[in-house]
Amino acid sequence: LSLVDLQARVPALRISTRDTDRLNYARDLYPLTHIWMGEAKVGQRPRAICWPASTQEVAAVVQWALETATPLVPYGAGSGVCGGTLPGPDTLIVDLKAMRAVVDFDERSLLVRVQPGMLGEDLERWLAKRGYTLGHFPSSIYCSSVGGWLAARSGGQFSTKYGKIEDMVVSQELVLPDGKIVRTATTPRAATGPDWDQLFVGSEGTLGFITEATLRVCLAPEIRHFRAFRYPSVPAALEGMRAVMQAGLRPAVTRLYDEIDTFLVGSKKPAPESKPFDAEPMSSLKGKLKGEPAFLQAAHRAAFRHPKLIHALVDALPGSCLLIFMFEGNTILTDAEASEAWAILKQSGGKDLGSAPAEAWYETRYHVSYRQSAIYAADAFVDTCEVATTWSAIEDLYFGMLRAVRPHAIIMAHFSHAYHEGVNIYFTFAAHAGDADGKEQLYQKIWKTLMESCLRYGGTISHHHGIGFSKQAWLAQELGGGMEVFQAAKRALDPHGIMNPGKMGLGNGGRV
Amino acid sequence: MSSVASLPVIGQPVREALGVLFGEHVSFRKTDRLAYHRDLMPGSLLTVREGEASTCPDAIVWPQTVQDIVALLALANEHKFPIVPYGAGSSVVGAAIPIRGGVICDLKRKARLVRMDEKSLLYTAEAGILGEDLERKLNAAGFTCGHFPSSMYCSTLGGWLAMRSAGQMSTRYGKIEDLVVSLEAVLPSGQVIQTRNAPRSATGPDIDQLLVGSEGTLGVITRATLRMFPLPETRRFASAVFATVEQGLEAVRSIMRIGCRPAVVRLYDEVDTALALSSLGLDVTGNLLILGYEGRERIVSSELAASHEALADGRDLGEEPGKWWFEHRYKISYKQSIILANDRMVLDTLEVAATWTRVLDVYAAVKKALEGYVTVLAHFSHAYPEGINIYFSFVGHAGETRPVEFHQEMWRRALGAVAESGGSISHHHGIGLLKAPWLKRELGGLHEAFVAFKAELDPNNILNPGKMGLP
Repeated sequence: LSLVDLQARVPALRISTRDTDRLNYARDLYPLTHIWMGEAKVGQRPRAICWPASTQEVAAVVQWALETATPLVPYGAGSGVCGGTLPGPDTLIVDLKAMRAVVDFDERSLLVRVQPGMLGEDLERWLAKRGYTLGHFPSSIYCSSVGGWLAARSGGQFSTKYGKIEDMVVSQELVLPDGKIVRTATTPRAATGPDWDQLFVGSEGTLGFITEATLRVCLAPEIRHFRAFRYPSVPAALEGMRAVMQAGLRPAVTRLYDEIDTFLVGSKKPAPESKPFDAEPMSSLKGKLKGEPAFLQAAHRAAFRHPKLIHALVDALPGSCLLIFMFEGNTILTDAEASEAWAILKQSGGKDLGSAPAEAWYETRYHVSYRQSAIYAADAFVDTCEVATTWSAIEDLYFGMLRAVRPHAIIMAHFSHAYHEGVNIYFTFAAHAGDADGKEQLYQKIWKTLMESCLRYGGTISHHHGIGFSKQAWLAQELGGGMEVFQAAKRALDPHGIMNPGKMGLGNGGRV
Repeated sequence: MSSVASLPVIGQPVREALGVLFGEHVSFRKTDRLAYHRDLMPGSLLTVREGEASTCPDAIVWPQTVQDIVALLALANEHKFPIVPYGAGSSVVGAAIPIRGGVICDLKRKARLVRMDEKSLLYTAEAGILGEDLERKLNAAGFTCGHFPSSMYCSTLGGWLAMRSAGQMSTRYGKIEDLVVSLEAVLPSGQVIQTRNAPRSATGPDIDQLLVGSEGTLGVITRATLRMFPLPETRRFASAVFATVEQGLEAVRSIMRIGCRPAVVRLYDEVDTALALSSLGLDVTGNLLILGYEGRERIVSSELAASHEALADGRDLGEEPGKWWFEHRYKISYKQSIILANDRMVLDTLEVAATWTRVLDVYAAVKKALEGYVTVLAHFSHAYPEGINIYFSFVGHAGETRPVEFHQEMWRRALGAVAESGGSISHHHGIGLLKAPWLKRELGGLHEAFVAFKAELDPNNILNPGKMGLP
């Protein structure tokens, strides 16, 4: 009855209750759902999916959901890795990809106003054509949307120069859970109370819909400087990275690979041709990824079964870590920053490897995310965990988390988003377990170990993937009492709990 | 001064309980209550000049520990009296005025620099530390806080955070919301929160950014960890005089657009150059632009070189005006009493930010709205790649009108013009009492959300009630 009613109210609204669509939206890129899929298991399917084409249609859907007590899940491109868009059986998925236009471009003020369903690749191409860049390059750029970036507090690969998504957003249009359409002011900065944009950035669909955003853009870079350095150990390389950041320099990229990650990066071949701008077409990428050699699959399989052996092997190798840098921007400023950085890095004991390893990273930077299927094919699983802390605590956090996880999985790390006061760690872990139940159990056990050791050593449990469904058990401890503030905002804005219930430790938000 | 004797909102049992909790660190004395009945909102100075006082607080307490504050909030929740968190009282929008009486919670005894983490370039300090003390302590260890509001001598760290402060070198070092990494606060319920000391998190809405700018309405900020910076190797200035404001703004825009981060960017319009700067002894006419870079030698040189072309439309005045500004940068705020000594004179300041596309409209609209009413001086400071802040100063003679009313009319005209021309009503002074009616207009439906959020966090409405358009 009620979906018919929704259709009657918004005749132009596309709604689907087809099984194929419901199956598609039963999962996002949360790796546990991959594990399920491998076992032909399916998560909860939503009741229906709709594709509103305007803010008014979103507001009408919200009105209808309020009246019918229907849970809503805002949906971008479904690339979340924490299960943030997983539906319940009554859920109406609100997919925003029909709202994907650039609404306004203020070149004078370097601001672009864009709808939430626009994909990262499309926006970056649109800007590149005009001589600009957003500077936001998450590895999901081909399969994530502007709205998703904001809702899940995304951080891109060049965030050290251009900022994370919260630094780029100047204003938003929102549909609140009572159906009201509101806008924040498009102004460089305001002292007009709490920062309301920052309430919705990171709210992961629990507080309302982001229906439009105004983002800062930058001039496309005139020049790029690449360089790589080798260090004998992770702590030594971290000191080099810290020295550059605390000198006030702003590399677009600074990435440090630990011993295992360095070994794997070194084995990657650079792409044959480089592209004139940053977003490479998906089609060309697919070609490069075909045909993972069979021996590599066998090696994967053997390795995942024996993590301790692999770690012992790596510990026995002479230590070697790769630290890569890229500076870009205005020629005069970038030349000075790069030469200052290279001097600092040499002084800190880095061995200059020239530009090639950094350029190779740049050319293949979106590939790694598309290599995971080989691991699943080897009957293992792989996932990533991104945490962050201050420079004083980083070694304890890195070694502490490694020690905790090593009995269960192969684990490696790189450090990829550096700050004045600290850095993030991006762990990749892979493991193998015999039967299906064992796999899910092992997966959960590893995550519990990661989260508990992270909190024990003073890290934040997510640097840029978010909380969603998978990390919600640890959010209250993460926030140190701040959960009361989040809950108050939830009750104030969404007293009926229709927005993305069951996520972020908010329970069902008072829903019956 | 009749209203000192206004009806107390706290009764004898509360007075006794405060005595037990705070001992010698509570005052019910008339002189203290008068001293805390206003802040630096010029409107309240005009009222005092007329020999009147608005509502006084019933008591002032000086807590030393977080537990003191937790106990105070428990008492307030039980007896339903207002608490106004108080730093150094330098608010110019009335944020610290106890309009409904109750208890002033002055944090200046919580003023320790708790720790410096030299490896992470972070310091942790208690909320009541004064800007000047903080900066001197950091300087002694070779660091700077990078935050230099003109109230540096009479504002606190807690006040900066609560009011969303911005310093004179914010274009390089960031505003207070960019500098803070974590904070400790007491929520109205008495819950003590300590946010995570991480460079960045994707763990839900940024709780720090909800408390920053909340002006004492959502919690009492008791301690915070912020970025500090090595003292700069070098500091260099450039300056030029432009025939028009437009040309000067265009120069700033092109400098910001390519990615320069000047520590100082200040463009004074002709009137401000003539009146404010010359009153301090600088002899320049026209629209003066001062640029200052600081940091590492090689980077500063490159930024000066990259800025050079942008100054081509102006007449180069070299380093001197910048150096002169740096020496005099805190003096102007202390010149106001000379003007206010004349009991018909009024003055005030208004800071509004706008995108580059709108900034000239806002500038022109405010000048037009006040033409023939008061003298308007303006400079442009706090530049961004997407826009800039305009800092207006208004000086006028009330003539036959009562100065308080003349002053109110001035604000109605100025903020009306801002709202209509697309500016935001405050860049860094905040909302408090003064701008509360316009905040509702600026936020629209979000203001209702703010009211609901406040009611959830503070159901008894004990924290700084009646400010920012809240109940």
